[in-house]
Amino acid sequence: MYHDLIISGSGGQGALFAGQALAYAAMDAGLQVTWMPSYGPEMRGGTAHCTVIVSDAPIGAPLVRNPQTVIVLNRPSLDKYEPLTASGGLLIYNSSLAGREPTRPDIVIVGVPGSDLAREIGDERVLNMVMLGVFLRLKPFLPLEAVCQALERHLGKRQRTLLTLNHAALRRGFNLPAVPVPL
Amino acid sequence: MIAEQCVYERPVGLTAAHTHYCPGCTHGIAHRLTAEVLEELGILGRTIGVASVGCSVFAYNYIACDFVGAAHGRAPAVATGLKRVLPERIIFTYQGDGDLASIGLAEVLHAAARGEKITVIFINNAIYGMTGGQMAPTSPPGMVTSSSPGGRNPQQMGYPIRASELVAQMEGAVYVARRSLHNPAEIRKAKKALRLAFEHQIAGHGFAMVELLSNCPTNWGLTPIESLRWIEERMIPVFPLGEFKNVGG
Repeated sequence: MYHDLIISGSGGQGALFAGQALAYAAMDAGLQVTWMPSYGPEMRGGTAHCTVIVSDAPIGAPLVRNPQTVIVLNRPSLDKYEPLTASGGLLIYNSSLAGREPTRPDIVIVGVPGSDLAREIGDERVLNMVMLGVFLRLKPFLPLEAVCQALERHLGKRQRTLLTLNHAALRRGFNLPAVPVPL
Repeated sequence: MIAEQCVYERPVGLTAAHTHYCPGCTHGIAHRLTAEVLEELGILGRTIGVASVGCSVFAYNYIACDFVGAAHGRAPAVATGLKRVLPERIIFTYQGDGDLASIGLAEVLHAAARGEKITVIFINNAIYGMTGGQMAPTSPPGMVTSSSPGGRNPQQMGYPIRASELVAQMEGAVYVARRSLHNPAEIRKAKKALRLAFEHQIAGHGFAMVELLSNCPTNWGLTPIESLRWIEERMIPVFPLGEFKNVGG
């Protein structure tokens, strides 16, 4: 069992934290996992992405050049990672901010109006959890509950008040009717 | 119909690039003053800036002159090399308090001691900004930072370093001033100080430095307005404003 993905967005969109939530859930489930962040020097904004690898066997290196799955939260991330997605792979993109539609013919493309849904739920900042929920439905190697519990266990003191909101966003993404059947 | 008249525009010395600085950050003001002074003195075309490491690492994208990027704290050394090899160029560094007063303290003191004919612009905001708000050599006693969560305790963590006073002791330093960017009156004085600092280099007198008390709303945990007040109330008592040296001035 092996899954890798890159989650990318602008600084502050929570791309890194979404990767952490997944990584902690996998770790709690006894799997091998790596989470590698990458971000620029900017205190606000800039670009941020993380590479997450989950496996039942030891992972050789935390880097992935052509990820099986790519989750992009903004346009620059879409532009950068659409071409890098592995052939036959999955691209989940935030259609609220993408500004265009992906065009690669050899990957599965799922558009999610993540920012709009997050706003409906009550806070645009849970965009990342909406997108993660979509991913968990399409790649169900971990149950949604595992990620919900990981958030409870690993969220810092300051963020605990946002737990309900994050759970709601995860479920919203997970239960989106327009999303295709699990791959 | 009244014809429109442009009364203010982006200085020629600033590029059209959108800066990445946080809302309310005084880097924007310091950049603009530098750009205006270089243009007004007619030296923009022969100036080489030395960018340092910190939030201003991309200064070369924002100020419209030639630039060299230096390793952390080493901008005065790079500037020394540039000025010695290209003496007719105007060389300046732009450094934060981590870069200048922490890792780079030896570089700036020796450049001043040697009287290198460069201009150092020192952005002092009492904190390490880019790396997430750790205590800096310039953090005042009692200041809460990410590495002094209980407030800077001088018994354990020492007292802040006053770089301008140190540099002014060097005979090679001809102009050293500390000004602030927290209100328009002080900003005007800051511009005058920058102008004097560059004029000393044009005249070939020696080492010049202008320290600019600046803010960091993001890491201070304050709104931009509150942060300007913080400069006035918490920084100026520790870092008095004034001209410490003006040889021949």
